[in-house]
Formats: sequence, C-alpha cells, structure tokens
Amino acid sequence: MKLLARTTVFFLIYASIVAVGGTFVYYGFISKIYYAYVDRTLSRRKLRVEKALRLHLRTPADLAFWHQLDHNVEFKALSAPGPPVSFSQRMMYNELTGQIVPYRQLAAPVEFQGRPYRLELRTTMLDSQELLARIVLAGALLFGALLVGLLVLQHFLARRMWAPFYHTLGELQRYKLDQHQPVRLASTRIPEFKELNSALSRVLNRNQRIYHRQREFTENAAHELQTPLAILRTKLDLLVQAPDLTEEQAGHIEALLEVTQRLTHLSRSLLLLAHLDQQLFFPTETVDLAAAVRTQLGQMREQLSVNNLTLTIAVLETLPLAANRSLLEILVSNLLSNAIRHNVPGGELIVTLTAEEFTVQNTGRAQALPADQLFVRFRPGPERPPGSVGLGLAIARQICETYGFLLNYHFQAPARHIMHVRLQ
Amino acid sequence: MKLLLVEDEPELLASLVSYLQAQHYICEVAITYAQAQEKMLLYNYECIVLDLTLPGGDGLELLRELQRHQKAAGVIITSARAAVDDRITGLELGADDYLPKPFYLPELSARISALVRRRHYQGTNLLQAGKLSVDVPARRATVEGHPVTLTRTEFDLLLLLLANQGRVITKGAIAEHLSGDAAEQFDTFESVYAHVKNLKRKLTEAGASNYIRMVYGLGYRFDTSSET
Repeated sequence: MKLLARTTVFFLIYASIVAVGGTFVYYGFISKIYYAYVDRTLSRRKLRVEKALRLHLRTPADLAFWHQLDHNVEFKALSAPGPPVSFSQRMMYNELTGQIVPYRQLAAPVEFQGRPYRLELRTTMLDSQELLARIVLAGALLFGALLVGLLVLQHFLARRMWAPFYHTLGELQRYKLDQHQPVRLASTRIPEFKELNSALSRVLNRNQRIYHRQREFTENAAHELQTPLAILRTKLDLLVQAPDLTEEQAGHIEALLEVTQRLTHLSRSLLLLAHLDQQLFFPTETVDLAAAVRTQLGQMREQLSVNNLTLTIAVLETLPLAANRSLLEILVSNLLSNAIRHNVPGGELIVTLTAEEFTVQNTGRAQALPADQLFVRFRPGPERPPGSVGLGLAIARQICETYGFLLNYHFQAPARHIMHVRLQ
Repeated sequence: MKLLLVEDEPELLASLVSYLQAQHYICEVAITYAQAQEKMLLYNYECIVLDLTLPGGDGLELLRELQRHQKAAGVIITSARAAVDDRITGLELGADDYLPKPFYLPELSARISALVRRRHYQGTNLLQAGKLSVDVPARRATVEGHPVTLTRTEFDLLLLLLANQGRVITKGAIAEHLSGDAAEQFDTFESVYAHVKNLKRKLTEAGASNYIRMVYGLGYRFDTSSET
C-alpha cells in the first residue's frame, strides 16, 4: 500500500471512530440539554398550577374538570403526603395521534384544601424526539462533511507536499551507476526533503566517482600490463630460438607461453570490458551477422571435430546489422566457443539465426547452470574449465547491452544448455 | 634493409633488436620522442616500428610530422593503447599497420616483411625458399614449377613461416596470426596442428619435404637447409 493511501486509511479509521463515538456523545449531550429544558418548563407549569390551586380552584370537581380539559394535568388524591418531586418517562395513549407515545412527567406532592394530592404534569415527547433526531442528523451530516472535506484536503495536500519525494524516487529508479550525467534532484522548500535530497546527492555522486575511478583503474591496470606482457612474450620468442634447447627446458617454456597467453587474454578482456562499460565509441558499420556466424563456425571446425560434435545450423542467408564488426565477432565467438568448451564428447551443437534471434544450443552437464551467476565477471564455479579466465560470457552480455540485445540462458532437461540472443 | 625501432621500454627494445637483426635487418633505435624525430627526419628507413606512448611526446605527432615532410617510410604502430580511435587515427595519419601490444616477434617480423614487399615490389613479388617459390600478390605457391593448392589459411601460415625462416614460431603466434585478435578464446591449438599438418602434407606431396619441423611441443620452424 502506498504511503499516502496508508496514512489516509489510518486517518479514515480514526475519523470514523471519532464520528461514531462523537455522534453518540453528541446525541447524549443534546438530549440531556433538551430534557433539562423540558423539566424546567414542567417545573414552571407546576408553579402556575400551585397558584391556581390556591387562588382559583374550589372543589375536587374543579380538579377533575381541569384534567378533562387538559389531559396533561392530573390530580390524584392521597391519604398521606406523597413522595417528593420526581421526573419520569412514561408511555401513554395520545388522542391526537391515536398512538401510545412517550411522555415526560413531573410528579409532585401538592396540598389542596388541606388535603394531600399528587400532581402529575406531562408533556409529550413525540415532536421533541423527532426534533432531537433531526438535530443529531444535522450534526452527523456536518461531521461527515467535515470528514470528507478533510480527507480530500489531506489527499491533495499530501500529494502536493510529497511531490518532491516522488520526484526523487523516480530519479532514483532511473539512476544507473554508469550514467554520465550527474543526478539532478528537484529543489524543494521542505527541510526534510531538502536534507534527503542533499544526502542522496552526496551518496550518489560519491558512488559515481568511486565507480569511475574503479573503471579507470581497471583500464589503466590493463594498459600497464601490456608492456610487461610484451616483454615477456618477446623474451619467450627469443628463448625458443636457443639452438641447444633440451626437451625439459622446452616443457618449462611451453608452460610459460601458456600462462603468458592467458595473461594476455585476461588483460585484453579486462580492457575490452572497461571500454564497453565506458560506452567508448566503437565505430559502427554494416555487419552481416549470418556471415560472421558462418566464419566463426568455420574457424572452429577443428575443435568441433576433435570433440566429435555434431553441428546443426539453421542460419539465415544474410542478416545485416549496424554494429561494430569486432564486437559482433567477439560475441558470436564467445558464445560458440563456450558451447564447444562445455560440450560433452560426441555431443551436439545447434546454431540458429533468424531475423529476431540468435540461438546457440549445446549438450553438456545434466544440470542447469546458475543463471544469475553465469554472466558475472570472473565467475567462480566447478563448470569453469582450467585456463579460462571467466570473462567470456560477461563480455558477451556487455556487448549485447551495448546494442540493445537481450542475452538469456535456458536449461532444457535432460542436458541441453541454450544461449539466446534476442536481436532488438 | 634499415629499420627504425621507436620504443621507450629498453627490454622490449632489446628483444626487437635481437630478433630482427637475426632476420638480417639493420636496426636503429630511438627511445625518446626527440630521438625518434631526429632520426626519422634525417635518414630514410624502410620501415619504422613506432610505439605511441613515448617520453617527450605522442607517437601520433611523429606520424603527422612524417606526413608533413613527405617521408616515404612504412610505419607499423605498436601500442599498449587499445583504444579504437587510436588505431583509426594512426591509420589515417599514414601508418601502414597497427599491432597491439603484447605481440609475438614472428608476427612483427611477418608484418614488416609484408610491408617491405608491398612497398618495393608492386606487381611481381616472388618469394624463394629452397624448391619453393611463392607469388604473394597472386597468392600462389609452386614447388619446382608444380603448383601447390593451398587454402587461404594455409597460405597465410606459409607467409608467416617464410617471414621467419630458421626461427621457431610458437603455436600461440601461429594461432594469433591465423585468426586475429578475436580468436584467443581457445586455449587448445588443435586448429594450429591441423593447418600445419595439412600444409606440411601438401608441400611434401609437391616434393618439398621436411621444410617444416616441429620443435618439441613449442612450435614450428621452417628451414630449407634441413631438407633431407
């Protein structure tokens, strides 16, 4: 749930609790006030009745007559003085409506001509209850309107005030470590966001600096390696010319040659990766991918026959692409050589190229490779053969990224490994 | 045949001199920009092997100067800078070839001899080695007049061998020569064995046997004197 939605929900829960509780409290409060008012009116009427008892009424028949005129005034003769003044609620038949309706009643002991009576004064609560209900309804409506208004207001305010946050979030989502332009976060007057943005900018720019420095380091390191490697290679070239070389010496030299070869490959691969990372300019030309695939396959004929592999090709006649020739060749060669290297003797190699995709399938170990680690630089793992520097697939993926291709690995039981390049 | 080797790394320079002198080239050396500039403008060289990063200046500047003075020397750039635009700029400035470091000495030797041949013999260009003669522009080889049919790769291999006669060429050098930079993917040298075997068989069938000898497991040597 989004932050805003979450706060709104909590706000809503709180508001409805307050609204429900508030309505009850409000109702109780209003009705209390109303009863107090009714009771005061009844008390005032009682004073008037007491005055009338003293001044105008003569006989008990007058009392009965009064009750007949006004049902809400009733006298009851008592043998002993009655209980003190009390208010109560009672249900009674109402002639006007023909229904039993609630009444508020005041019962008070009075004295008439020296004898005790109980006076009951009543007033109907029918209209007043309706009134009460309306008052409460009006209150509830008001409350509701306030609530809705507040919600809407909160929503819009939050959206407006959180705008810098969402902008920053968007920037972060688009952020790539290797992008060239620095991150630009929107300026805001809200101190918290200001601090957030400045902290983020600091971190991001620092990261970028470190990343660039590291890339430069890789490139420089690879460069610096070339000259010592050149010396090593040329010295070995001279060493093998020695006229009285023994077989044992030759063996040592061969090992050195091999290591030098590996180092050279390693440093060149690193350099290539550094250049790809930097998105250095690689001149683009029209390259026939189909021809490149066929050429590379031709160069690997020996490896294929040594491992006794069956090659199946379904490659388009021609597929011109705008790309750098050497990069495409490296991509194709890395995928193909990988498929040969990790094959089993007597296995299969299937190469297909359509306008949409380039696929290399090979038989191999009866176990899927960890797809998430496959394209990692210097990938460790048991499937890495001795002598491999573990950069081939990383380079392949980087080349694919450069040209917007998508490189994927699939495993098909029982033992088929598939490399998939989606072109465009 | 006079060469100028421009290289600031003394050990590498020593290797170049040692190998190329044994190939009967006359080698002069320059280890700074200023030295290179002076010698380049003062004398005429068949070929200049030029490192780009030099104390005192950029090798590409030397190329510009060479162009300004219209010196007719072939130039092979050897550089540790693998940047693509360096290669392009170098070739645009009139360099004939570009060999990234680290390189194999037989490869450099082959490039030099190819360059020298291109510059000297337009049209006919016949290489002789024992009974074997090779017409480079026509890409044709004959043994005592009998044509030997070679594939493109076998012919390239033969040129490498001929440019380094009597020297041991390691398998790595052959592999790189045959497949370029891109094909270092294999640590196995099966294709080298296969190509050498085929070439050897074809030459033997044509009557030039034992020219190519394997030197332990290291590599191969082309030698017409070892003919039996």
